[in-house]
Amino acid sequence: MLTQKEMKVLRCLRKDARRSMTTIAKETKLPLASILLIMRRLENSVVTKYTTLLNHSALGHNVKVHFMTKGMDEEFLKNPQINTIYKISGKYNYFIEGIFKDLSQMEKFKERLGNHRQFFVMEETKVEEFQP
Amino acid sequence: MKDKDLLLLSFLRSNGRESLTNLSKKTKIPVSTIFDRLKYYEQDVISRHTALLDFSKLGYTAKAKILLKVRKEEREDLAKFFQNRKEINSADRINNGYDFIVEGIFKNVKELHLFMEILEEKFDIGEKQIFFVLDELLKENFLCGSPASLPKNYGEDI
Repeated sequence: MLTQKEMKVLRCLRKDARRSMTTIAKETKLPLASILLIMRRLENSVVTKYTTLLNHSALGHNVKVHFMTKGMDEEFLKNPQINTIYKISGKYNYFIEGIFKDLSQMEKFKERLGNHRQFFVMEETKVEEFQP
Repeated sequence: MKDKDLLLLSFLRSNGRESLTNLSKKTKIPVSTIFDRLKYYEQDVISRHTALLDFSKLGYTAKAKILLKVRKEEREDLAKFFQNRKEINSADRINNGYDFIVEGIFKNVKELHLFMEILEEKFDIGEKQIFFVLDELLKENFLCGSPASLPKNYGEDI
């Protein structure tokens, strides 16, 4: 489990991962010297990756689809259209989130999916906002 | 969008804390230009820079994808409900027999069931399906990595 100081830094990074260490020190009221140490500890434990979340439709990728499948090709792990893959319990074994330029690109991708169910995303209501 | 800008975004997707100096070295774009491009893209293309977490290491042992169908009149209120609930990490409006797919993060299965009880007390849930996440094989990987791995013609017509 993390200390209260570590949790403070973690929440800052979750809100905005590009905040400078000086800003994080000000916001958490922790000494600058300890921020780097705390961040290294977090990066070696709970932080899996720092990333930049994008509005993909603003970049011309308008089709976001959730697929649920029974099987998964290992090649999918390298497929550039796939954003997320989870192993899940229940009727299906895998949850796959794909992002595509258009429907024809998605249809081509689906040829390799096998038995699946698909859900088109009409609107993103919330993205990666859980704050521990 | 220029190829170099696309490259810049892909490096940020791989490491959202990459320094401007390193981004400049990798993309061969001057630091000052990167600073300006970031500010520009933060207006609409970039939603947020964040840290992805292994929630199980923080004591949240139950992560689930939940499919939900509600009455048409309740969809907007349900969307607001998800926006305000801390347990909900992500929520999408969807089609094909359901209205929402949400990702919930809970301390344990009991907490998930309590959440579902509250949800069903407040809304007329027609259908629901809960899938527990057993393992994350890939997370926020689109547009990550080397230019060769980017989707072909990613930036065209922009």
